[in-house]
Amino acid sequence: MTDPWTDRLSEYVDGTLRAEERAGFEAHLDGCATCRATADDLRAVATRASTLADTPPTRDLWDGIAARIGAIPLRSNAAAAPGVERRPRRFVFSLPQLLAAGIALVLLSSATVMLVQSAGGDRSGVTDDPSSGVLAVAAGTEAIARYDQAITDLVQVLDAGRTRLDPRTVRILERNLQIIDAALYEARHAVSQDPASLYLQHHLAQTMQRKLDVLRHAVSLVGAAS
Amino acid sequence: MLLTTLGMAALLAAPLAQDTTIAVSTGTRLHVSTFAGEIRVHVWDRSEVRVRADDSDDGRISIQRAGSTLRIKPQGRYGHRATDFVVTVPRWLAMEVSGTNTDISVEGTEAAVSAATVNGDIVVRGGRGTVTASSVQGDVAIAGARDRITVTTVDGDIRVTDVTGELRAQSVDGSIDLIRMKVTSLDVNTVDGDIRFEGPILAGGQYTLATHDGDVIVVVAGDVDATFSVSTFDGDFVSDFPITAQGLARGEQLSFTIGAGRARVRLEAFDGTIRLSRGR
Repeated sequence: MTDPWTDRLSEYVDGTLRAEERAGFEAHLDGCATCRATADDLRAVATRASTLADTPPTRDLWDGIAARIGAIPLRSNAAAAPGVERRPRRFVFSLPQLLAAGIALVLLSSATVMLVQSAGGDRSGVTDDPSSGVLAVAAGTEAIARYDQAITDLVQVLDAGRTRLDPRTVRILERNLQIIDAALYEARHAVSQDPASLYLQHHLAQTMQRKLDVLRHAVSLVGAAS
Repeated sequence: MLLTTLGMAALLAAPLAQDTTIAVSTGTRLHVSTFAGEIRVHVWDRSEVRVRADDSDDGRISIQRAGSTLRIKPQGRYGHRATDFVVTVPRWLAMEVSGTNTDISVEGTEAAVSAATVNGDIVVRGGRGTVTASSVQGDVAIAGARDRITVTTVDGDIRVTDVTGELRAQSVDGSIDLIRMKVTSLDVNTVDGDIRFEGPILAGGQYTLATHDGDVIVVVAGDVDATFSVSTFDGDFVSDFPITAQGLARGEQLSFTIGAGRARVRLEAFDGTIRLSRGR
């Protein structure tokens, strides 16, 4: 199972956890080196991000789609009802956004490891350390480029080995990849409409993860059929 | 025929359709695989494994024991014939069952199960410890499993009932039904399909239910003591609970607490309705 605290890292670093949650998280940090390292990395990113001018990035973060980050004024929220907390919108160059890029980077690292292994290639330069992905999270453009490259590489491996798979399986995989691509398109479009949404950033990253998962599974089937 | 096999390794080549029974000791792990056909696993109270097979080409089966692992598969080149297996095992026997164009069912086990196929359905009733079931094109149903359960399919529906422990479930094009859940950790998502959860929200539990295109329906049994995070882009949120602001703007995250908030529940539907209901 995934570490349930991983999703709370951003809130912890942002200082938005409730007191008892913060205490629980810090108790978890005492025994979890990965979360501890990731939290440290995120603090460093936060420090760096806080020094940036609050202006739209000059370069795309999301492969062109996020070109409008910061360009759309935030909607005014309706007054929150008692007991209901509407989360404040984040800084446009937000931690969750960077974390989403970090998530993608970590995923593509593992995908690349698998890819290199399946191709019998050299593993040098490929890391298994999940915290190392977060270190590079500030380089969002690079992360997306690497994600796209991982997707391209996996698709190439799949294309090369597709004759080893049952044509019915190939059709099913292609159809489901199209479903994910349609979801990705919608998610990216949504991010472009509302780039400050933590949910949309997370959802986009999760959908990217699903595509990598399916491609990795497909490539493993090619390997098993060899 | 009863074969008692001891020692490092033994290889048996049994004619198909023969009824073969092998004694096994505690700690043995079973691997059964076939390219196409059906694998059905039942349990009994004997410390023996009984193998019955039916092969499309009247071939033979391989029963191989290496250390604590007992492997059963069609003999010869894998992938060019269909073989049906009916295997009866001790209920404590951990097993790995796999195939390509294969339906798999496991009934009544009280041990760890790993079931994987490419084109086929999977049904597992029972299971303890680590229980995993994976298909590419096929439905997956798990019932009565405990501890750590992982269910994945690409193109198919997932139905999980009466499960205790931790559950992770993923599909791409399929719905996910989780009925009478009693889990402390839940992480389920699909891209194109609905998710339905019925069960208690346990104190200290962590629950994430997310879909891109579909509804998320949570029917909570018993008292609720949780902090909820609800997100959608182009959908709605409806609650039976007295949450006065039920509207949810695009891309916005709505958080609220019921009770002391001792569990965490995250509900996400990019394009669909999120419904939080009271169970009866």
